Amino acid sequence: MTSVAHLKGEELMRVSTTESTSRYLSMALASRRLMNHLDIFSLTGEMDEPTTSALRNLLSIIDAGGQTGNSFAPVPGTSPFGRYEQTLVVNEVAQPFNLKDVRGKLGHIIDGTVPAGERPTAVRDVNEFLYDLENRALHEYSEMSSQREW
Amino acid sequence: MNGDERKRALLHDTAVCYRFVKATAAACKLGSGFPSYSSSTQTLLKSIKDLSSATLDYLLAFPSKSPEDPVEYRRRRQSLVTIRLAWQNIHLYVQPAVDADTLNVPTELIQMLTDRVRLIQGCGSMEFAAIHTDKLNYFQFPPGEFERTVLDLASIVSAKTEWPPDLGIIALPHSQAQHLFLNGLLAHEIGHSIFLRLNCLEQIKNLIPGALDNVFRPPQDVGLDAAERGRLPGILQDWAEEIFCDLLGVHLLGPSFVLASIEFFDMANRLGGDGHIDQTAAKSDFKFSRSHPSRLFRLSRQTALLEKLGWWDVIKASNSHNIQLMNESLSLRRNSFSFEEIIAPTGDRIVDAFYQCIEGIEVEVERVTEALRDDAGHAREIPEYVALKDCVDTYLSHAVVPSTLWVKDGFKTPSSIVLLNAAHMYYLTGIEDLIKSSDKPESDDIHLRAVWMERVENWTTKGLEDISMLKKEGA
Repeated sequence: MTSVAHLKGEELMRVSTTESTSRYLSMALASRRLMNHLDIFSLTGEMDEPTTSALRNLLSIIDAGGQTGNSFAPVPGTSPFGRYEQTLVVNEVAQPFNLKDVRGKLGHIIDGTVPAGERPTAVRDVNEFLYDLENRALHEYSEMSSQREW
Repeated sequence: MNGDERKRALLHDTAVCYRFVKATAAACKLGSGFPSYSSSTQTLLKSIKDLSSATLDYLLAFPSKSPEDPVEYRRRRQSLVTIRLAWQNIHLYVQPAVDADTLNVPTELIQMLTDRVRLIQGCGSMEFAAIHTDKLNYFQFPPGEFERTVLDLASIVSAKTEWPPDLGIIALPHSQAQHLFLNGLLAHEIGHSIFLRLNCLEQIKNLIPGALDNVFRPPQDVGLDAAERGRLPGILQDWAEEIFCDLLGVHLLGPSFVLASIEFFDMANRLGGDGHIDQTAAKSDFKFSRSHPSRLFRLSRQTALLEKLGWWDVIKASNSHNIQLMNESLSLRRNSFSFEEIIAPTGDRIVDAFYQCIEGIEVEVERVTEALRDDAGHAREIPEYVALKDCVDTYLSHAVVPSTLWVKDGFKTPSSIVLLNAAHMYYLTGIEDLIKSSDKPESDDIHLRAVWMERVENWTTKGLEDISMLKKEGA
């Protein structure tokens, strides 16, 4: 799979810099928002539809990671994780979390099948992943914001 | 760090962030008197101010909620960075919003565009705050970006902070506020807000992967590496949105929008001495880029839409080289265009895929703008334009503001859209007459010509103000 580092120089040259930079900020903010909502879910077991939908979107990106099927992916839409460069980051960050089965825990949280007693642990592990995602997005944003424009 | 050291560090870092946010939002002062702001800009500035208050409150409470658990602490601590960088992004927009007072934005044009947008179903209470940008470009401002940052930040710092749901943001180059006709390009920016608000992508998003699958069936897909393959849906999504915004601009403003695009990109340069498109001069304008469809492609679709709306029939006889360029663009076909940032034949296939989506995009624009057309599918203003165009010309040629026209045996106030388009056509073809009737009738002086052009824009702006005032009085 192509890495983000490999693409960065190319992206800076070819894509509208302001817009592609701000996508990393959106990614960081979205990750933080999800962490906050998951904290509430951990305590109450309740989750609103936008949060479920955002988590589902994230899960579909993880599931599609590295697959090279014959069909093209759906359009990224307005998802903060959906652009190609952002999907690479999601998948790079997700990789080390395979051992903790973050993908599985995320799926159970979305399905509502995580038992109440296991909620705090599941949320904690997913939030660790989201924390890393936020961290990485902040790094990319800071780095790209400080590039010279001319 | 032990507990005390960690606490001191957190207090310090939170205070640093607090000072940063406070200083960033300080520019949003809303007093009475000068400078004065339109109600939409006031809403924007007030929203930023409210968000800053919510952020400051959040930061005041931040250290007291610090967890003991190192993992939880680390996670919470990072939110300070996120908040700070979000405000760093908002910082980009604060001063440009403050600078856009009523003397420095084309108020009447924005009001006219807002009135048009409000005719669209689902946009009845929309308003637009104009801000300045230091970039001399109407096409690069990503309105969704600022909105998304603010919304996300608001939901992090306070559940109560809300972004005004009917507020769109548009940006114009800070030096161009007085250029009425050129600012017609703001209709494109408004298109981005509508695209988002009405969730238009939902209607066209499925066309894109299908079209790409069609043109890249194995073995044609061998030219694509994984990165290109991954990016293509996003590239076509961007092209689709840009074309949507262009076509919406045509529906909102008519020919004036297309003429503004021609002037902005100085596209008349692509017209050869023989009156046809010069293939060498126009070489770059046939090419799609990663962010936008090719300029001549955009012009040809805009002009084709004018034809469909009935505008083309009433302007095509005009003796202007810009109209000639529009006429030429109508004869451009698929094979005129290329996408060379991805090498042939792959780039060409991507343009093929986009062509497969075009009809769906146009249908979506038609659906959104239905209220702007008559039963025959024509722009509603065309009969009025035909009836009043000559009269507007006469008024302008006598240096009279054409807001109340004497037609046959009575006074008539033209609609804003008719005045704008009639005056824009006069701007293209009537300046010669004004010079001929001046005290230097034979002059080729550029300064003099520029002065007359500016006057035509000023009279038109005044006309739009009068019409708006008369409309308010009538209401």
